[in-house]
Amino acid sequence: MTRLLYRFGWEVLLVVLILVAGTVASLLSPYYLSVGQIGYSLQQSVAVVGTVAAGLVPVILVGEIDISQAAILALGNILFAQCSSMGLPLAVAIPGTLLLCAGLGALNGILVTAFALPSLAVTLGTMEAYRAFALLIGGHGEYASFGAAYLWLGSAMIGKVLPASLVLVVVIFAALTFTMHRTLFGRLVYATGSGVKATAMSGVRVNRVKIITFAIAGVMAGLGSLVYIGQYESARADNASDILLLVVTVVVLGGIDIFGGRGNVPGVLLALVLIGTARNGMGLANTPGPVQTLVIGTVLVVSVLLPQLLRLGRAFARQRRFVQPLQPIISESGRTR
Amino acid sequence: MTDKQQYLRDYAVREWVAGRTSRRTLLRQLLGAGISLPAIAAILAESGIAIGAADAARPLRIFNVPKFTGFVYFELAKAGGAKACKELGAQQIYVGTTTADVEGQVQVLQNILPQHPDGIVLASLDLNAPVPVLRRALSEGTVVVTFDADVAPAGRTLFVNMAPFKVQAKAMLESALANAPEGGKSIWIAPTPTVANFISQKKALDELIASEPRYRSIRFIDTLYANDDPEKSYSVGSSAMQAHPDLKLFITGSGISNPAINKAIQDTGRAGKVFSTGFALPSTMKTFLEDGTCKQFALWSPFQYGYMATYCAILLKSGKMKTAPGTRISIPSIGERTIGEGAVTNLSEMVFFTKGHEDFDTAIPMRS
Repeated sequence: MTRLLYRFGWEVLLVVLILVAGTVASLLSPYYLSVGQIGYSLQQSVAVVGTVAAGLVPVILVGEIDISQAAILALGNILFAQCSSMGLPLAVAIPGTLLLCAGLGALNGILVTAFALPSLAVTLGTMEAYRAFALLIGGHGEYASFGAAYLWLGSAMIGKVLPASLVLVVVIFAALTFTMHRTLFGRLVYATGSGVKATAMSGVRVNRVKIITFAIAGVMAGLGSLVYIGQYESARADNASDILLLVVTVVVLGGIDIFGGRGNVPGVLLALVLIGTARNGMGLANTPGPVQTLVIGTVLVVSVLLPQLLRLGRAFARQRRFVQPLQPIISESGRTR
Repeated sequence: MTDKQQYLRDYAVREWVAGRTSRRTLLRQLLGAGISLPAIAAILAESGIAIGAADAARPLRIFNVPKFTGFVYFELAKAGGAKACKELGAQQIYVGTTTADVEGQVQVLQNILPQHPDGIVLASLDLNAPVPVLRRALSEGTVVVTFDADVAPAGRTLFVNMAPFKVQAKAMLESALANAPEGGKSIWIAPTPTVANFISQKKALDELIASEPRYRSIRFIDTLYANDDPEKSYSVGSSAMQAHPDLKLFITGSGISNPAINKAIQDTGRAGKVFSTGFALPSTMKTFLEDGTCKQFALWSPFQYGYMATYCAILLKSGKMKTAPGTRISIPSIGERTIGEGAVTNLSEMVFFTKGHEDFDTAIPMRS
C-alpha cells in the first residue's frame, strides 16, 4: 500500500484534486452536476488539447520539446478541409493527412538529431514554417463547410451524453500508457530521457528513438485537427494558435518531468480532467477571465513546485534516519539531481 | 378599453417584458383590470407571449461576451449593455477570456449554455468556430446577438453592425477635411488586399467623393497595405511620404496603422504638412491630438454599441421585436433603425475625437 502510494502518489493527488474541483464546482454552480453537461464541457475544453498533449508526452519523456504541434494541427486542419471540399472519402483523407503530419514531426526529429540542435530552437523555426505552409495552401480565408463524416469524430455524442472525442482521448492514453510503460520502445524512451549518453553507450540508437517520438507528436497533432474540425467546423491557417500553453500545462501537471525520463502517462489524462473540471466550474460560476487565468497559472506553479518540495522532504527524512552526511540526491533513474 | 385599463395593461406587459413578473402574474393583472378574455388573448399574441411556455418569474439573463476582457472598447460596450439591462430590468453577466483566444471564447460560450441563458451578446473572434455551440444555444431558445464582428448567420439571431459603409466613409472624409480643409493627395491604407471590410470602406469612400462636391478635393492616388502591423505601417507611411512630397493625407480604417503612421509623421517632422486620419482607438491617439499631429479622427461609440446590442437581445427574447427584413425598431437615445436582409441592423452612430475631446466620454457625435 505504502509502496503503491509512493509510486503513484502524484496520480492519487491528482484524483483528490479532481474530486475537490468537482465538489467546489457543484457548490459554485447548480448547473455543474449533470452527466451531459460534464461530458460536453470536457469535450470542448480537453479533447483537442488532450490529443495533442498525448503526442507531446513521448517527446518530453525523451528529453526534448516540440512547440510546432499547434502549427502542424493548423496545417492538418487545412489539409482535411481541402480533402473535404474535394469530396474525398475519410478513408483517403485520414491516412494522407496523418502521414503528412507524421512526416512533419519526423522532420523536426531529424533536424534535432542530425545536427544536434536544441529542439526548442528547431521547433520554433518549423512552427513558423508549418504555419506559413498552412497559409500558402489555405490562404487567408477559412473553410466552414465540411462533409458530415469529417465532423463525426469531433462532434458525435455516443448515446447522447458521451462525446466520441473523449472516448478517442481515453483510447489514445490507454495505448500510450501501454507503449510507454509496457514495451521495449517505451523503456528506451525513458532510458534516453534519463541519460542520453549512457543509453547511447549501451548500444541504443537514441536518435532513432527521438525521431519516432517526434513523429508521434506529429501524428497526434494531425489527429487533433480532425477533432478540431468536428468541434469548431472551421479550418484556418491560424487555428489553435493559443493551445500550446495549455498542452504544456497539462503534461507538466500530469507529472511528466519537463527535463525528461520521468513521469507516468496516466497522470496526464488525470491532469486533463482536472484542468477541464476547473475551467468548467469557474466558467459555470461566471468567474472573471483574469481570475480563471490566475487559478490555472497557480495550479501550474504548484504542480512544478510540489514534487520538488516532496523530493527535498524525502531526502531530508532519509538523512535524519541514517544520520549520514549530506550526499547528492540520486533519482530512481540514476541521474544525479 | 378605458384609459385606466390601457394603463394597467401597459404596466402589466412592461413588467412582464422586463422579467419582473411571471406569466401567471401577468394574466392575473390583466384579468384584474377587467379586460375581457378575447382582448387578453389579443394582447398576449401582440406581445409575443406564448401561453403554456415555461414561467419566467426572474429577470432575463443576458450574457455579454467580449472578444477579450480588460480592453477599454469592450469595457465601454459592457457599460452600455449594463445600461440597457437596467432600463429593461434584465441582468447582465459579463464573461470572457483575457486574451483574443478563439478556442477560449468558444469554451466561455459552452460554459454559458448549461446556465440556460436568455440572451448572449457576443463580439466574435471567429466567423465559424463558435457556430456549433451557438446553434445549440439557439435550439434551446437563447437569443444570440452579435456585434462588432459577426458569426455565420446559422449561429445568431441578429447582427448589429457598427454603421453602413457609407456612414463610415462619411466619418472618415469629415475627419480628413477637419485635418486638411483644402483636401489634396491622399493614400488609403488597408491591411491586405482581401479584407472585406476595407474593400467595402474604400468603395464607399470613392462613391461619396464622386457624389458629394464637399469631398471632391480629396484625391486618392494610391492604396497601400500595412498588414494591421505597427512597424509595417510606420515604414509604409514613411516611404509613401518620401515618394510623394506633396502628399496631404493618409486615410485608414485600421486602428493599428493610424497611430503608427502618425508617429512616422511626427518623427520625420512633417506634422502639419501631412495628416493621418480615419478610424482609431482614442487611447492610442491621445499624444497626436495633443500636439496637433492629428486634428480629428473618428470611431463609433462602443458604449452605444453595447447598449443597442443588449437592448435588441432583450427585446428579441421577450418577443417585442422580430428580425424580418424591413422591421423598424426604436431604441432610446439612438433612434429608429431598420432590420436589413439576413437579420442585420446598424448602430450608425459615429463619434469624432479632437483636441479636448480625446476619449469616449467627451467625443463629439457625428450629425447625420
